[in-house]
Amino acid sequence: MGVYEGRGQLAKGIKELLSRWAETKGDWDDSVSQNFEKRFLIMLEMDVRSATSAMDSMAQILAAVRRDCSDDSTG
Amino acid sequence: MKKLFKGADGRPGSAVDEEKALAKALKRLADGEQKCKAVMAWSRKLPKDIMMFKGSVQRLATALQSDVPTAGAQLSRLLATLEAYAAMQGPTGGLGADDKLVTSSIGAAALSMTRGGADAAGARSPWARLRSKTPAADAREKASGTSIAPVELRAARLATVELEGMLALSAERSAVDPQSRIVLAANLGAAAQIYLERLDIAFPGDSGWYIGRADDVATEPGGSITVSDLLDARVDLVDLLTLPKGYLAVLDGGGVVSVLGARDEELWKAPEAAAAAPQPAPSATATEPAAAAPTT
Repeated sequence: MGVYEGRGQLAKGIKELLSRWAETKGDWDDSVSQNFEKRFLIMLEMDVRSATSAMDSMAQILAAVRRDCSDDSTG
Repeated sequence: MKKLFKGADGRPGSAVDEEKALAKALKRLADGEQKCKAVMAWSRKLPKDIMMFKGSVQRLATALQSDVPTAGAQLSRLLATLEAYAAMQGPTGGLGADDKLVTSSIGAAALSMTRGGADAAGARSPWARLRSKTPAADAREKASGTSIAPVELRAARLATVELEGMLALSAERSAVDPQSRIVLAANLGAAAQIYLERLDIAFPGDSGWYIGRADDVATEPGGSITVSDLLDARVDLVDLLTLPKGYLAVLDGGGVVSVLGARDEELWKAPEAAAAAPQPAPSATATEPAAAAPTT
């Protein structure tokens, strides 16, 4: 799996998770759910954002490596 | 020495063709040298970029390996707690109101198989001596001001038959406020056998429960935790905690050893516990210092 595919799956996964959580909050919205959201979900979303940003950078780097180092005559 | 290369037809090639081939070869050489330089440059730079990448995704990796399973486990515990409360709802309406007495018939069959109360009614259980180890109200109140981290109990989690038995043990149930506090003996985690006793409320916010060591080591009260914190770690105790005032339960690595009613009658006795029931013992004298670490 390439970096772009992995990034896409990760972004899709967190989007679906947050969508489900928004549905859940419709039925469960108290201090316990707020603590749960603060402790796990918000942190996870931030971590995913940081990771997807890093994956974007890595994808650009790998593209540059391929461009600079590959054998043009075979490509 | 000059060498003339001959073509397929045996005749030497023209100078123009040779110059073209030479130019092409020189270009490919230059390209190759450039690629070689690029490979060397990237081989120096790429490890640094990979390290930076790993650093950037490490938090996510940690979250996926640790936080996500923890979150799942917390949700499972909450769900189990809710299901346990829902299962306790009886004809009088459940535990929604504060301190409401509810009736439960769940687990009657299990209780009839294992409880020892019917034939032992009126007989004072040897476990009753544990009541004398429970600190007085003022000592419990003093200890309640020290919040401690939830203690990992060595007592085994209650099996299904015991959970059902706890529900059927008493017709009267007395709900506990999840935010109320339970006073714990110091060094409770070191005890192989513990007891839970429900007493009169000793201070505002008191659940009435005290958890002490059932061995012969005398301890001071070490601090208190909320009912909610205890159930987060030991949701299997949820039904036991709704037993009314005067009840006392003894737990060890095998589960529930014995449950005493308010008159010290043994209402529950583990089948194998009969032989291990303690003999009346002299009061314990060894005192351990409070070792519980205060939290915020």
